[in-house]
Amino acid sequence: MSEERYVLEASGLSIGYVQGKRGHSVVAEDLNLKLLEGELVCLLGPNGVGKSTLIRTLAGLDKPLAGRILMEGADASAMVSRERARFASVVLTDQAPHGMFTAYSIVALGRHPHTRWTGTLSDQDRSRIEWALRVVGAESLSERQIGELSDGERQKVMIARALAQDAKVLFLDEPTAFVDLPRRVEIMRILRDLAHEEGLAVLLSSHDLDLSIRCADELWLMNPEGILVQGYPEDLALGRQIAQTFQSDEVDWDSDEGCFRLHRQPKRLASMEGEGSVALWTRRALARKGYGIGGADSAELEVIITYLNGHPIWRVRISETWRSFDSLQSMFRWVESIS
Amino acid sequence: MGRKAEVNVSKRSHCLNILNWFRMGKGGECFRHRQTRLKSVLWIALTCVLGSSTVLGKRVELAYAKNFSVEYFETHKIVTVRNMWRGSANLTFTYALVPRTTALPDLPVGMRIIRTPVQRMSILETVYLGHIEALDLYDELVGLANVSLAHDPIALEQVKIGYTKKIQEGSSLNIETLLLLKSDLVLTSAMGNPQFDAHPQLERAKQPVVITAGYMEEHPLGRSEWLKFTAVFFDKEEAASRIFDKIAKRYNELSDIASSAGSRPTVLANAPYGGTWHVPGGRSYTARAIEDAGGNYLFSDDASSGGLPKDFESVYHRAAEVDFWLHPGVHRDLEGLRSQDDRFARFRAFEIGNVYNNTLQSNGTGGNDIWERGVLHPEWVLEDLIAIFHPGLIPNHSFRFYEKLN
Amino acid sequence: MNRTSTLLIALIFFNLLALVLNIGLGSVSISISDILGSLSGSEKVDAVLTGIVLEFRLPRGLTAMLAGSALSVSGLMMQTVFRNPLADPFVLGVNGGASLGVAITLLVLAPSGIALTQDLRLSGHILVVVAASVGAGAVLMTLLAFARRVDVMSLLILGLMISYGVGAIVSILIFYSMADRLQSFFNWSFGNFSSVTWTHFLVFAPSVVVGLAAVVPQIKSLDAFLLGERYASSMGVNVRRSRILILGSASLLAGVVTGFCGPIGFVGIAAPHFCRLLFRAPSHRILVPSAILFGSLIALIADLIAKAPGIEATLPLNAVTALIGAPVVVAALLKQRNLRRVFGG
Repeated sequence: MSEERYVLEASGLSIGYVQGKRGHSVVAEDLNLKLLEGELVCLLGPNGVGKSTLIRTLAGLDKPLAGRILMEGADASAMVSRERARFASVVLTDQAPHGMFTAYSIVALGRHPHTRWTGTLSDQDRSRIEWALRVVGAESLSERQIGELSDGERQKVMIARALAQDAKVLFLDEPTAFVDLPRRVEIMRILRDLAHEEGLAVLLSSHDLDLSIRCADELWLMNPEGILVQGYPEDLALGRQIAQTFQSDEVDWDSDEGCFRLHRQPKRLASMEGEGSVALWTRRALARKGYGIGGADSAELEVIITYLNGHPIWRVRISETWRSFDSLQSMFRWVESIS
Repeated sequence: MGRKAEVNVSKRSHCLNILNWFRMGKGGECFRHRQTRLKSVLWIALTCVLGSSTVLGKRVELAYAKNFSVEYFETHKIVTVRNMWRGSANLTFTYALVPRTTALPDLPVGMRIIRTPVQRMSILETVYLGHIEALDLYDELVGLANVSLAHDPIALEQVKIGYTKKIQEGSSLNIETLLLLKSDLVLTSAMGNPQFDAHPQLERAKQPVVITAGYMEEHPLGRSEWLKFTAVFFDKEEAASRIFDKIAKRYNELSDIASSAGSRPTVLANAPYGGTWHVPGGRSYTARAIEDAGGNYLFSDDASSGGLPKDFESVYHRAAEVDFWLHPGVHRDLEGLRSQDDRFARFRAFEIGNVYNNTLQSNGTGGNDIWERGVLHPEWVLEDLIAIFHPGLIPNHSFRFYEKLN
Repeated sequence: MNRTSTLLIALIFFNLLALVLNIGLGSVSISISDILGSLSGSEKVDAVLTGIVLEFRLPRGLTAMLAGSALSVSGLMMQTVFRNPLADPFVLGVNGGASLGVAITLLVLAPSGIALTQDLRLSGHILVVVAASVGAGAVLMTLLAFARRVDVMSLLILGLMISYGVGAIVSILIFYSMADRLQSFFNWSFGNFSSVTWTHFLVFAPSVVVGLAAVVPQIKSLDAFLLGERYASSMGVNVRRSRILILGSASLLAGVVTGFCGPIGFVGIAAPHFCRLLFRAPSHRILVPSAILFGSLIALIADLIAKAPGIEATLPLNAVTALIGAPVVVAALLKQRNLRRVFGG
């Protein structure tokens, strides 16, 4: 077995914060974590469970309450800020920078650990800045004022800044929080490419479960009791850890479909015959309308999916009446008009 | 109804009033009144003849003070004070002084009344201590403000033993202490600024407060003559007159001596603080004193009677070659003066050692006799100044208020 | 870069011009030839004029330049560390501390200060300077002690509260004082550059130069602080140490100026804004030198106006700096089209 290069290792880690004389407030304890280079890891968990604290502690911004963090084998607590800066760079949820910054100058700040004492940029610095802007696709923004950019554009610039720092690990705290869906997908893709092609280790926390499952090489699930589970996204999905982490009265995790369902007691039963995506979406519509799936004899509503010229047709029976519809909406309108 | 015999400097108004009086005399009067009227006719004729410089019994005659006047009636005296502060224009304050033994006569409603002779007096400024010393009014002094700025040793002793009470700390009057004193008279001056003046508060508290305007007199003898003002409240007009006559005589003697001096040395006064040098104006008290002492005050061309704010540089420009320098702040020695600003050493007066300050009588806590007896005795101040500018004119002089900085 | 160099050279030029004007104008106008004659010690120039140039105008002009630079750089640092465009050099209450020191000296000790002056052989002015510096230093020490334990926002509020508290004590002292003492205190609080003689300058100038020199190694950290303390830390800045060094030198500069010249407002807020606007660069590599030059220029112009040449009096310096400073700040802010977005809304 080849030596796996652990870029970051945490053992016996206890995170939280000191509350003056009253002692510590522990968010999670006895964590044992490893980050490999070239991997994209997504940290997921309900709100308030401590994801931000964990990210900040691993990045070296907050002190751990107990335990040890090794950065490429070296003890992080013994490092000075400058050494740590060459190892870890961050993208946080902090307030956007103010002042007359162009996107270029923000990214240029990322070169801080490498520039001379005056902060003047060398050619090497410039090429790294340009590379960073190119990777995130923000080259066209480079002369724009940071205050004028949209949230998504600003986020890309902040990621470029972290990249320009040329660190081994990139830590991101909810980078897709206020960003629209296409931009979110784009950012995840960029991060994944950075991990796989540039060999960076990337750790980000996210609320977007679906996107995380699809893109991450590893998931870390954190639950309110402070337990952290690591594993392949699919393993965790099948093994119901995802379900358990996000357990609540409101939603259920549906392993079959890989998504959340609203927890609603079905009031009525319906039977359905069909396969494929049509069957999937029909089941969803029935669930949304409050129908559970049952056998044909106990169901008050029977749906049979057929095809006409490749187009789906729904044949529905209520009581003894059969009708056919070419859309789910028209079908339910009829069903509701009868009931 | 009383006789009216207004005692004033000008003879003209004197005689005019006789006409008024005759006009008033119509209608039924008792015999006694007629008799006294006859007496007053003779008396008035006498004064018209003898001129206004004679002193008559306990009357107050004023030669230099312009800001107050006293009218004598059979049952009371009326004191009028004018020009109490800059810009007070035609505003006057009048007070009726009624002896305790007399019933209150008919007076206009709202007229301020003081019963005489005053037995309990409170003063809000230390300048009156000079009058108290001259007229021996220590027993009557029950309240004193700003004790730390007072010099008079007897008054301070009285405060120490508790006979005289402190009635002010800093800029805030301790009104309760003052009320408890039950003074017959509270003397103070005013600036016409409701923020700082005490008298509105005191009047509201029904205290017998009397405003003085001595500080507004332009002539040093004018200020000194206010001794007579204080004296009126204690029925000591005669003593006051005697004392003042001596003062005025000596002052004028000295003034003549000074004007006989050949050359007039140039003189600068005061010192800057924080970039601004408030020099006395050309018609201020200090300027006047300097001129009377045979000096040539550098800013005598200015027409104001207060202080002029100037910057150090422009004073230096005019005064670099000045002969004498008076009152440089609080300094009593040249090293101290130089350490405030080493540019002071560039003034010629400093270089030749002609720097004098009126701090000889400073008592260390802020009191200085020059503001007490010095105001009453401008002839002593003048003598010091002449001895400074023209030492030969006053041989064997020992300084009373001024000291040379070494 | 070219534009930057041009602007810097222009600023240097205007500074020299303003200095010459300051030396030439005042209660009496002095021609250039007379100025040069005075400086070279020529006999042809009237001794009094020479005295004015050498003892009054020159130290005053140089003091203005140093004070303006110190305040401007101090304000720049405060605005960066606190990420607040309204921060000024005195935001940590340093000014309040200085005021308290001076108030105690002038209003409490001065009545007995007559004796104090003689015994200790300290002039009134040096005593004021010492008192102001001690007051400012005491506040600074207090705040730095807290700087280790609290975050930047809390520090700001602490400084504000100290200002208020100290202001209250000063009010009480004023309340209990006599009018003439108050005049001295108010004179001090108007601010002025003219009371620094060459003797004082020997202490003032090195202090300011040392303070400014201490800023130079912090230039990179200042840039990092623009993104906030967390990002700065992630980029390799030792935040605690840098904060102390930056705030310390900023307060020292502010305290020294207040000690020698009285409290002078507006230069510290206005100059950095104007520099940012003019140079269009957030990098402190450019902002610090430009703040030095621009602060110096504002101070010289303000002093020139305060001298009111032609009239034989002075205007209070603080009023003039406010009158100049306020429009500058307004103009700078209006130039940003959307304030909220720029200042992190």
